[in-house]
Amino acid sequence: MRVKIWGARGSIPSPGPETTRFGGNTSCVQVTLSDGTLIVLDAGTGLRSLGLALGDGGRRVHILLTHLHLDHIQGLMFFAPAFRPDSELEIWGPEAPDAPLLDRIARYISAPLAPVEVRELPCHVSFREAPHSEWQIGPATVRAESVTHRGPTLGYRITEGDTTLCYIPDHEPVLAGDLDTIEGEWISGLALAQGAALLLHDAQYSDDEYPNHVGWGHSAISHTLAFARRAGVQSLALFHHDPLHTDAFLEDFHAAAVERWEAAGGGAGRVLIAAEGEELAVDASAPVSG
Amino acid sequence: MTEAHRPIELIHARNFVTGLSTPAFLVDADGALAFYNDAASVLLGRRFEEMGQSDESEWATAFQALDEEGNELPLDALPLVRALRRRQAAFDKIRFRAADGVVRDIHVTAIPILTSRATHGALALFWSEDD
Repeated sequence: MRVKIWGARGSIPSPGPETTRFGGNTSCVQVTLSDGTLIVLDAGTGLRSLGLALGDGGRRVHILLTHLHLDHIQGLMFFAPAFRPDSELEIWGPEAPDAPLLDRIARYISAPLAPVEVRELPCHVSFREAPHSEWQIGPATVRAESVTHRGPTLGYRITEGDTTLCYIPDHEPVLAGDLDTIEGEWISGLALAQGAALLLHDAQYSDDEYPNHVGWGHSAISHTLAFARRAGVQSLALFHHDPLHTDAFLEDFHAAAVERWEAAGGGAGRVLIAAEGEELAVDASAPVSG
Repeated sequence: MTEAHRPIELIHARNFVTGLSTPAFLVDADGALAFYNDAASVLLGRRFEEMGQSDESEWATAFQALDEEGNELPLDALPLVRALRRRQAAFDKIRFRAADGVVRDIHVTAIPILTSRATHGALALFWSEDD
């Protein structure tokens, strides 16, 4: 499968001269399956650029939302296919006890927060709570599971053939305890990520920054690396970059993560850092390549 | 996938009680011991790590609830078990013999851990009259 990063930033879009390398758009990842089926992971501001790149023709697009924090849905209202009557959107997301997915998204795509209402979108659109069992999208099997974050939040596992991609952009698994020693059954998301060819995972904070953000729902780099090791993933991509982290910071952040991963026995070249615009080929039989 | 995991609601419950200084005891949907915190281990006379896998009858034997005559109470008399089986909150004062043999009177408040889909377990908070 092919993966393209349209947004790797967390919390708030962070454009500017200091973020041109890794980008300022918020979470949005395009997954193209072998038969051309298009899956989009999260609808952050990167979704706008993805929509423009899809061109003028009507498209069928499956959008898998991990949760409804603004940085993961803000692109919906600016997604060009949503305004085409020949487009078909299937939007999946977490269930919640208070309202269906449509109603919760409509809180954003409605007055006074938006000039359009969800019901006014010209495309054919359906909103579905992700089921508790696996389901098929094109040739891929998709699985969603709840993960530790603020509010109902999912991680996704997409498997086509022997290749599995796992996407957990907002995650604080360390609240369970020491990730190196606690039983795996108590680590949220671990089963979802098990053995994935590529895991895109929350890496918002440095270890120094994390103590001021405990309980915010995000990981320090130590937690990201420990989680990936426990899950036995083949490759890890650091994701959901903090808006304050400049390109220079992230270059050093990545280098340090690589060093720690390899010092702990991890394979060389297996820790990536997601960058806006980057395209990756994901195949279980080979290292992730650009 | 090779490793199943606990329901997220149970994970969150364990996360919640891990740092509390109030003794807390967590069971899963089958009533088996899922976790208890360090504060509870003081009352119970045994650390959680020493317990291993314990079903309902095993942990109830390890920490025996007693009536006023010192006879063992049935499982159904325990607030935690009532909360789990009846899916409603339960409160009671009970006497129990800890794993270290010490007999204590404690107040127990128990709630089921529910979602719209299922019962995932139950949580009990203890308050010792000796504190």
